[in-house]
Amino acid sequence: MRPTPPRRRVGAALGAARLLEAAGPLHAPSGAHARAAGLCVLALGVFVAGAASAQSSRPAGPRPSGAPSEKAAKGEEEKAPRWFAVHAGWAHTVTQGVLREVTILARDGAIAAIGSDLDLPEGTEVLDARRYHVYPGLVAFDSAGIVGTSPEDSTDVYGLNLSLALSAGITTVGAGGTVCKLTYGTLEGHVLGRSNLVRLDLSSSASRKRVREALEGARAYLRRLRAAERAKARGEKAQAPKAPRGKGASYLALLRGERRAFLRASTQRELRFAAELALRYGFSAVVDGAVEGWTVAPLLGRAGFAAVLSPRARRRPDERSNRPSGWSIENAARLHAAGVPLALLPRSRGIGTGGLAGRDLFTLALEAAFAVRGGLPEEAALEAITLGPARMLGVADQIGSLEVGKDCDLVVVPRDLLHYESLPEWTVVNGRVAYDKERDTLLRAVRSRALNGENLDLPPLWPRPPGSSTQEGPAGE
Amino acid sequence: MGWGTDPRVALVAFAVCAAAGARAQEDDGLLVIKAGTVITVSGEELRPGVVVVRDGRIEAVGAKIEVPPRARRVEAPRGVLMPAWIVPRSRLGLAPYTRTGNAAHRSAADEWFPRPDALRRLRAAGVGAVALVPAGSGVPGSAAVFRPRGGAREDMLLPGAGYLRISFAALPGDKRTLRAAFRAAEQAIEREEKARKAFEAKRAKEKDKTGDKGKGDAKGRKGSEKKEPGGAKGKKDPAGKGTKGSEGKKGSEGKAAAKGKKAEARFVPPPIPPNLRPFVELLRSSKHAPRLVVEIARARDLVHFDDGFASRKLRPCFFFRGGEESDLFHAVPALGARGATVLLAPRISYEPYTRTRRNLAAELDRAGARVGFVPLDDTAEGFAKHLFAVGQLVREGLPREVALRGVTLVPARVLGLDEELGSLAKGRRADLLLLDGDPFAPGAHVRAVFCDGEQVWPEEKRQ
Amino acid sequence: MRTRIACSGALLTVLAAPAVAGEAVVLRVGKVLTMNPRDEVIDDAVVVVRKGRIAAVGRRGEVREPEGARVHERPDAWLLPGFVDCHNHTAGSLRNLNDGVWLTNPGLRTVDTLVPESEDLRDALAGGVTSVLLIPGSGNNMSGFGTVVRTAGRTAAAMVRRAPGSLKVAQAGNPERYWFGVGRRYMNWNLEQTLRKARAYHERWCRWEEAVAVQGRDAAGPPPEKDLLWEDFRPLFRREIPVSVHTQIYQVVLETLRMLHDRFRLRVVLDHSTFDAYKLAPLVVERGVATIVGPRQYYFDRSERRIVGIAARYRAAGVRELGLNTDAPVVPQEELTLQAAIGCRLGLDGYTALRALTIVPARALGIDGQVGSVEVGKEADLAVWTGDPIDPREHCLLTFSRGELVYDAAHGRRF
Repeated sequence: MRPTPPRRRVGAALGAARLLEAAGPLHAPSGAHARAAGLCVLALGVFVAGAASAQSSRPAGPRPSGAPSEKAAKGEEEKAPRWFAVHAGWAHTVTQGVLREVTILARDGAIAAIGSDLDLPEGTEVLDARRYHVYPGLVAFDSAGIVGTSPEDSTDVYGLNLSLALSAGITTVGAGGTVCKLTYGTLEGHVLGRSNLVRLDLSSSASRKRVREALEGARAYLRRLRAAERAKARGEKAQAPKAPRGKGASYLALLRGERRAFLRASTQRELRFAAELALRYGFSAVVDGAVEGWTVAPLLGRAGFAAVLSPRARRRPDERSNRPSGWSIENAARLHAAGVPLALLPRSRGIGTGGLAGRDLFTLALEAAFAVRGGLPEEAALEAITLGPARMLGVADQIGSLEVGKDCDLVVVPRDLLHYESLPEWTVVNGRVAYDKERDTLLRAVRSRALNGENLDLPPLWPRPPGSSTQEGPAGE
Repeated sequence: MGWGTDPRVALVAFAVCAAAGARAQEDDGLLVIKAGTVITVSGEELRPGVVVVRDGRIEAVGAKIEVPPRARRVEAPRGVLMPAWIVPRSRLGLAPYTRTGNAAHRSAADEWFPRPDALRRLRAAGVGAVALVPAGSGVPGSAAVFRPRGGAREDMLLPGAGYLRISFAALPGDKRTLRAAFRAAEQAIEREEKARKAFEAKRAKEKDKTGDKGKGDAKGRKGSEKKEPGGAKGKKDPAGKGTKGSEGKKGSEGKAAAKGKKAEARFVPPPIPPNLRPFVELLRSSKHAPRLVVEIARARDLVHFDDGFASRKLRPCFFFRGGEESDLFHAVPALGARGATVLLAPRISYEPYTRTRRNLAAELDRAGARVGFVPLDDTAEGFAKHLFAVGQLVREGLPREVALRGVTLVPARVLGLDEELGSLAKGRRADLLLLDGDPFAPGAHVRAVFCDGEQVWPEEKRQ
Repeated sequence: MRTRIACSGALLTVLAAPAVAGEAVVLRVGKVLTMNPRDEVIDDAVVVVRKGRIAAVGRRGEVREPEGARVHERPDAWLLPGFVDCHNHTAGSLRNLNDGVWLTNPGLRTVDTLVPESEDLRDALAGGVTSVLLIPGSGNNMSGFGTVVRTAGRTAAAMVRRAPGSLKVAQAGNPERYWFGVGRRYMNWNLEQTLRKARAYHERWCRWEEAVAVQGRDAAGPPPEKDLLWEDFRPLFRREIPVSVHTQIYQVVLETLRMLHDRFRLRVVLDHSTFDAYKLAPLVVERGVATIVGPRQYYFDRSERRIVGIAARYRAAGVRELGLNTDAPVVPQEELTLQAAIGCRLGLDGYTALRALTIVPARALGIDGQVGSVEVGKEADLAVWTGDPIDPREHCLLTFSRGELVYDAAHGRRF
């Protein structure tokens, strides 16, 4: 039994239709913004030093950590702020729709303002992407071989895999327990944070028993604690129970909702077990795998689970079962509909040069496209490779969307990101161009910017019936 | 600039001269070498030039010098005289023993067992000094410098020369080792400061007491002092281990003796583990701080080194351990900007995954770094090809003067021997190399090598 | 049944009528990519199917729609010919991928290992793939004869479009693992040896057949002895079927062109043609040989640190007969369009990529008379898509095999 897909509007023209669809949300949420900004002609190049808040959607403020404070100014020499700006044709903010013709200004690597007639401070490094689409840098919830085993002490900031990931538009990866920015050539801001997830091993009956017992122990402690508190409130003499330490403390944090669990579960049985455990003890979890998640989507939603999944992870249906089983291309869509936040990943979490493309992080954006194939709305698919994983990694306050105050991590593409021809032209990390397709040798021969997007000098083969305009460039208005 | 059409003729002439000198009544300590070209390295190139050596040191270098009559003479009108070149990093003749972690107190000298035939080969190659490094990761110890002059092992070693070798290529381990070493050294310093403060406070207190009671409390003071170091350090046996401690003792002994009974009132710092001592000295920027050579294999290593230790203001020398494919070109601008000294093998490398050639030595020089060369092949045979290999880089765009400094003066400076070796100037040791052509020219041969003014190759047959 | 097919030995073309032969089908779609020689694209189009074949294609209103036909109205959808995968291992059991008896195994046939009810084949239909060449693996130098199958067939007879479909040869790479490892020199010698024997057999029969034709049956004498080992090679030497050559690298493409194309004058299809083989594109163009790229879609050039889109490179060098394959199960059979997407991501243009899934592989296999484009008279192997099939966001709505609806995403979506 396969689910029927939620209907999705289908385009009738190659490319152009896609483009319109991508630009579609423009008319609704960002229209207001565009009006507010008056669709000003970008008066760029003119600057007023320091003023960078003209039309920002949120007031530009100094970054809490990065900006030099007054104290510092008194004490030691104040370092001049580093300004970076992108003129974006389309800014896909993830949280606030698509903004047309805006400038994103960053100070010391953090977005200071987004607006359409910003005054750029002197010395601002400007990236002109007026013909391009700008997205927040992609976030891979998990990765292998891109950053070092102990990132702050061993990442190869000039490594091939790091460049490959940047060329795929990825700016942040989870790796082991660490969340890392792909800071090319520098370690400044490389480690963004540590994962706060508590790993639960539910792989064997013995380990499941251990987990259950540990949870039971933590719950018992909480009960004793409450009892003691109540007793105290009544004025009785009561001794507070001894707080658990080590692993026990982690489980306690789970039950108190201070931390989230991370567990692997793919089959319906595993997922059911995990969800019921979570519901019984009242913790929330990020579940990795979730191949049969669509069969128990409402349960996972109820349990407050978030899912890390690969839309094409295959699993044959169990023919002995009378319930739906096996993989489904609609997995992501069904989970999303049930309110399960998503992080999408390809089946392989590495990145390499073996030549078998379409299965590792080199095509992370296409993975999101496959989720759209299964009915996931494009906005949700985009979120599932940006803000979604950022939330699960606990760094959503810094990355994952284009917002003032967040890090200036961008990927600049010639057309909508999920289109198969959309190779990143620039990838920006912490307000620095970390990858430039035209300068890096990796992909510069493919649809060269210098050749105005020409395809290796290929003559156009696409037949053009009279009256059709399917070949219109992505940036054509 | 060659030796002539037939180098044998010249060689014969040179041998005859030497022999003639031997026959005459000569001043044993005096040697005069006249050569068609004298490469001083530190000064101008002289054509022709004369070098006067007295008692193993250079007395004078010039285009025209009045030659003392009884001097032993070597005349090579078409020869090229230069300082013997220096190998700033080698494992030749060392036991294959590797260390991990922080072993900063160890020295390669302890594991060096020279083989006479290898020494002979080194002399034949014109090598003036070799820095032997301990193997391993982290901080495996200090390099020991020897001059291959023959004789006893201890006579060849140059105490005080060399550097502390820091491996910074096996990440994350090496970074952690170094970080831990500095942290521990900081703690040692803090401990010492604390102990000193406590001691001074106590002494001030006791001074007041002595003012009141006079001598009576000498015993009590003794007792308290015994406690002092033990209480502050909370570590192992303080006796003997910290050399610094004993030095301090010596320094204060005079004063203490003068003060008679107060001799016991001197401060005894808590001992510092010997492998932390170099780091303590580095943190104190003392004159005992070791020279550092940090070995990096990839560009990322420099980034990680700077990330961890730029704030320590160490200004180390770097050694590029890169292979044929190397991404160290990424590190060139940063190293150039700080005017760092970089040791590397004389080879053309390729950018990783490409056949794009890089002359890293030339790039470093252009960027503002100082370049020194380490033989590509760490064998006595390999050393014989070193000057030719460096010459290849000259033919690929490295300025000749830079190449010359890179085989002599720069390595000498890295070893702390630039006042002794690496150039031809007054007062320097007379470690000389006489060639029959430009040192970098293909086909140039070493004709004679002098160590402390003694001809060590070809071996003289003197009565 | 299988044994009968296997023993028949001769070139077998199954033309069993489809189950609903009588019913006419009308498909009203937003766009038809005909993939015909004029590269026609028809917007707002109608395709009429009768008796399993395409009866008419044209703009709506310009085509007469038969009365009582079953109508599929999909005004936003695109209609394309069913895709052809030239290099596929999933129509049979994977356990039978390689019969590594000898280094060359001339007599073996994949038609013996068909699995008509395979789930993989249903998945292929969900990816719009209606024809595949089922070939043995590349574990040995010559692994036998492949079979051109319909992915929709539910019986062996309905599946087989042509058997033998092609000869499978692997000239380097995987066969080097054979026994203690054999090198390319030996493989080439061995292959040539085998082909010479096969040709000698073929020529013996040709001489006898000619004698029969000229002198009559009696005068021609007794026929040569039939030998199953060599029988399938006869259509190969008559150039009725191609030889599919597993060619991963430069040197192998070169040797394939020289030996199989130039010396033996076989119809060569270069499969894979990956890594640095694209550098031989001029020789491929010269000979008009079809090259079917995949499953690797790019090559990491270690002399320039760059990613080379292989298909784009062949195309730029002027290779017209450029196809794409999945080498399923290396890439799942339903992801044939992903191969196109990656090709396009790395420089290929969309239309060439679509040709590479349809008419080019059909022509390479010699089945372009029946499938590979939407033209009147051809079998109605069609797929209706939500939009551009290359775009992973779009999916296949309906798949038809000989006019029969064999996959409907609305009832049991698979991909």
